[in-house]
Amino acid sequence: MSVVLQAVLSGLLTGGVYAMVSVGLTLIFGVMRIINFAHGDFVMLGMYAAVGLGVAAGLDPYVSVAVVGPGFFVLGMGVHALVIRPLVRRGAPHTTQALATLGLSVVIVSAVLLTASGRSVIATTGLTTAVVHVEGLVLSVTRLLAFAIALVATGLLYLFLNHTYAGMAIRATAQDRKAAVLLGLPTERADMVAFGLGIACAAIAGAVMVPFFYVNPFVGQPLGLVAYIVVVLGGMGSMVGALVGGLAIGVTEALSGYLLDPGLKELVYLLLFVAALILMPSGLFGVRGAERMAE
Amino acid sequence: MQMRGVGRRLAVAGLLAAWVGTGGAVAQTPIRIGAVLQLTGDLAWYGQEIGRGYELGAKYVNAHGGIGGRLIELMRVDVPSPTAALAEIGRLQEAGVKIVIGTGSSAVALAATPAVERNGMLWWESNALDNGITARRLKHVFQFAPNNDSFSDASVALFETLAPQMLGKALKDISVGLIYENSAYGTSQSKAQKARLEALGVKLVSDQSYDRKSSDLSPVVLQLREAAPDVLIETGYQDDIVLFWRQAKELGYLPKIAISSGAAATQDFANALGRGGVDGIIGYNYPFHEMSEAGAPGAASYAAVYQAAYGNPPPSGHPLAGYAAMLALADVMRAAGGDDPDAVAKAAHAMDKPLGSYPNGAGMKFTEWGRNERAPVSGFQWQHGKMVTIWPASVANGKAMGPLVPWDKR
Repeated sequence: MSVVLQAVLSGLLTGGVYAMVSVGLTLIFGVMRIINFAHGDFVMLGMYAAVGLGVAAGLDPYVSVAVVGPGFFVLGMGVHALVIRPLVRRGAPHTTQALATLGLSVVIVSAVLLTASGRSVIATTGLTTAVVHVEGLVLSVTRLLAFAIALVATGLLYLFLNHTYAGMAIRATAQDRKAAVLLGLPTERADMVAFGLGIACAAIAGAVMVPFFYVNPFVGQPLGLVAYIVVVLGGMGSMVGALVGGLAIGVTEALSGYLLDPGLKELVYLLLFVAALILMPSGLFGVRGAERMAE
Repeated sequence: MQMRGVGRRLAVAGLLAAWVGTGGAVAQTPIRIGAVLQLTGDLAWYGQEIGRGYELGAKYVNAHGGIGGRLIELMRVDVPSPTAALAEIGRLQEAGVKIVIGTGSSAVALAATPAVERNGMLWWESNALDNGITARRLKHVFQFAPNNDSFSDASVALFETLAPQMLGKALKDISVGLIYENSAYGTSQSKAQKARLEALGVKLVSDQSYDRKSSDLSPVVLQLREAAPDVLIETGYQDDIVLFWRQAKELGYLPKIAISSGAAATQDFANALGRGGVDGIIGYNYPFHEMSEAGAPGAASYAAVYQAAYGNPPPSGHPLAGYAAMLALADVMRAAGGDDPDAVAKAAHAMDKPLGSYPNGAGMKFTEWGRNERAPVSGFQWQHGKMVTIWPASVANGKAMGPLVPWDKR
């Protein structure tokens, strides 16, 4: 039984990172209704940024979050201004905007390959492989810290969205764009801020993974894929949904990997994902029909 | 009459000069060899290192007379995945390339070799392991590299040689766990390993595959902790092997003996685990340059040239495999008198060089369908932060130590 609990615990810690990546994506998806195919690549860029700050300034990856977060928020707004906003202003359909992000993904990965090569960077900090023991269970310190930072960042984002004017503008735009425009809300600025916040979340997730995960130009893509699944499972635009969905996927992976076969864990969570959507088409915490209101 | 005679002589002299001149130009025309590498994609590191081996090998050959006076000119193409293989092979053919050397990916080799055969070219495999490369009986495909069978044979041979003496038990009383990444590389290796272990009557108590891109291998570690095999044999790439060992340390799992695929044969692996994490782990891979010179002549000078060219010692056995394959290809092309694929194929089949002929310890003798029976795999062990070649005896420069010291005692 304790082994099963250990698997659940490991899954929760991994799920926390998935949730962090997904929270950013659900914000972008929820507000702008576009699939950001480059989302996972911003996780990867966050990793490289953390590594770079470690080499250049001796910053621990967890400390680098204080620089990576704001830096990527600004970068995300810049990407929105240069890539997404021109398309929106021209009335390009969502599919075109999504394809633009696909192109952005190719550019990002290629640029990193050219500058950093395909060789994986495996960082080691003083906490790599450090553990704490709790009631016979083992907690990886690096994954625990990643989980904690993910929770704090998600909490701060939630407070921002629910207790600030800018946050409410973003939520209003997500809920009903036409109504938000009619009310005079700055929807374009809301999009830009939402995109920036989403990218910042992705980059922070990347930075906190550096102490326990390798870094190469391709690590973001599988994480991006998991994030899409989490976002849809949790309910589009729902922060709580992204958090719960991420944890659920993490635990499902770990349990199915242990109880069945590690090679089957993706299959299991994908099957559960399909089953969940058949039963709850809007996801665990999505509002049924709300996804159509903003179109 | 005399004037006509002089004129004739001058005309003949002029023709002769033109013919010699033309012949001289032909003799100096470089021989283009296509190099199929993964220069982008998640195997780019391997492609880069193997490419370095080809370049150094080509330079060595050119410095020693080339191929009948003609210098080798490498034409590198990037084939990160099988889908790119057809187009790039076509491009090589259009550029006049007849001989192709490659590659770091079995999937790419399997896709590229039929295209090479159809185009009337010849493929010289330096690193990819899949048995299928020669199993399809293509007449112009040669696998100078070891194949999956040789790799899996090596892992089981290491187990068979070392486990009884380290554990003080008979083979049939030793339990084994197998873990492997679930692409063609890992699954083909594990299939061969399982067959051999079964033939030895060994107890297989854990058999797990995993996705090498996974960010969490704790389920694999937990299953192994439950099954508690005496010996762990693993097959993976560097990134997933590092992740596995880090999580194994976190969760307190350690077998008595660990035999790891070539992924553990890099300095990056040692750096990622730290000296405490890596000591005692046994690996098997393309031979590393730290070998006995008697069994691998030229390995040390290759390493020195690599260091001078790239600023660091060779990080693994991959570039040495590429280097040795280029030297061997040059020998065959010299015997064939050029780069005609049929002549090169014929010359390759006629070759009979013993083990220890090349800097990686290889010899050359091909089966009817192009597999090199003298392609070496070596076993090594991390000892005090360094890779020591421990097997086979002909290239060993140290003895095996073991079993693994518990994590809390390192």
